[in-house]
Amino acid sequence: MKRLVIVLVAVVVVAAAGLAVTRSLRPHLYAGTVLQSPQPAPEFTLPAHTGAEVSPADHRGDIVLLYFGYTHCPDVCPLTLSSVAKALDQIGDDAERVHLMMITVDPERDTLEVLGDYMGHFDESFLGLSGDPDEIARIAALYGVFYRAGEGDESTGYVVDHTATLMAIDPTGALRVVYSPEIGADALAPDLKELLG
Amino acid sequence: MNKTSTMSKTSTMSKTLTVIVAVATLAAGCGGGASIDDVWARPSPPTAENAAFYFTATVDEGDRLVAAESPACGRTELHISQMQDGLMTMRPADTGQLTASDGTLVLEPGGLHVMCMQLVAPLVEGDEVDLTVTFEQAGEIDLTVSIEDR
Ligand SMILES: [Cu+2]
Repeated sequence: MKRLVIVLVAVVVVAAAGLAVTRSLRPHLYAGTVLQSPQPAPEFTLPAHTGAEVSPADHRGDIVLLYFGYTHCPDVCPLTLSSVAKALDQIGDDAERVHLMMITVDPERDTLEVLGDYMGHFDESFLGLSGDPDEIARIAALYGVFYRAGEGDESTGYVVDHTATLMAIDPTGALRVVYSPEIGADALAPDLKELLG
Repeated sequence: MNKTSTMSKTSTMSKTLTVIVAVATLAAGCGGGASIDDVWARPSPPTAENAAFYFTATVDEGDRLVAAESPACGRTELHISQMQDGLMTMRPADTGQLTASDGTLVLEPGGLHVMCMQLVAPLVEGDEVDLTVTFEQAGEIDLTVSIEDR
């Protein structure tokens, strides 16, 4: 009887240890699409609503979340931006190491002032970037992002069709994970933790 | 003793209420019934010119959303956001997209929405705004949109 107890205890201990090891070895499953051979994220410098000239390289060692959107977008853009804001709330102090940059695909209407107002509504840390339309088009192409302004008039305004993916640049400066615009905060937060290491 | 009798009275009353509600629902169903839940919108940035309203409608099969109007908006349109050729697009929704073929029509972020243009004032969390929607069969329905940061 005593021997049986010892054997049982041993089995439980071994099983628990095994479980702990597989847990720690099991790779993190990303909620986004992980790029198989991550390349350095293309460099750029654009003016932000804060008045500073910003570049992803300013945040080596941290995560840069890059998004192309526009402020007249009331449905999809707020969905993504509010998910990122909520994910930052979930990761506590680590949020200081995540920098969201939204480059406008509508530089005509999105002045730095308009962008500042829009971004600050979601999170004080979010940066709105604008600039010369040709330069924005060049940067977008580097990231495989496309956009085209549709028709509209004075009263209705126009919409801009755009690639709405959220891109994560990891602490080494590599473009690592791409997210659908409908990624939720609960799915995004664990990925951010993992990317920060 | 007293307590038991009160309880049984309450239970009878709630049963009666249930029946009344059921009958009322059935009656409404005859004339093209509709129930609309989860009516909400995000708070809007202070200088935003437009916003989106969402809700879930349970209506007769095949009923169709034809219009929406709100004093909070200079004008409204019924829109759908969808992926086309890898681009996120937003367009006026077509007849098919606004038809509740199975009796349910869901307006949610990244899909169907009431596009509220020329916002009269920013939508502030915790506030409520009026919205009137019109279904082909169910007719006009007055709703209250709650402004929530979801
Ligand atoms: Cu819309």
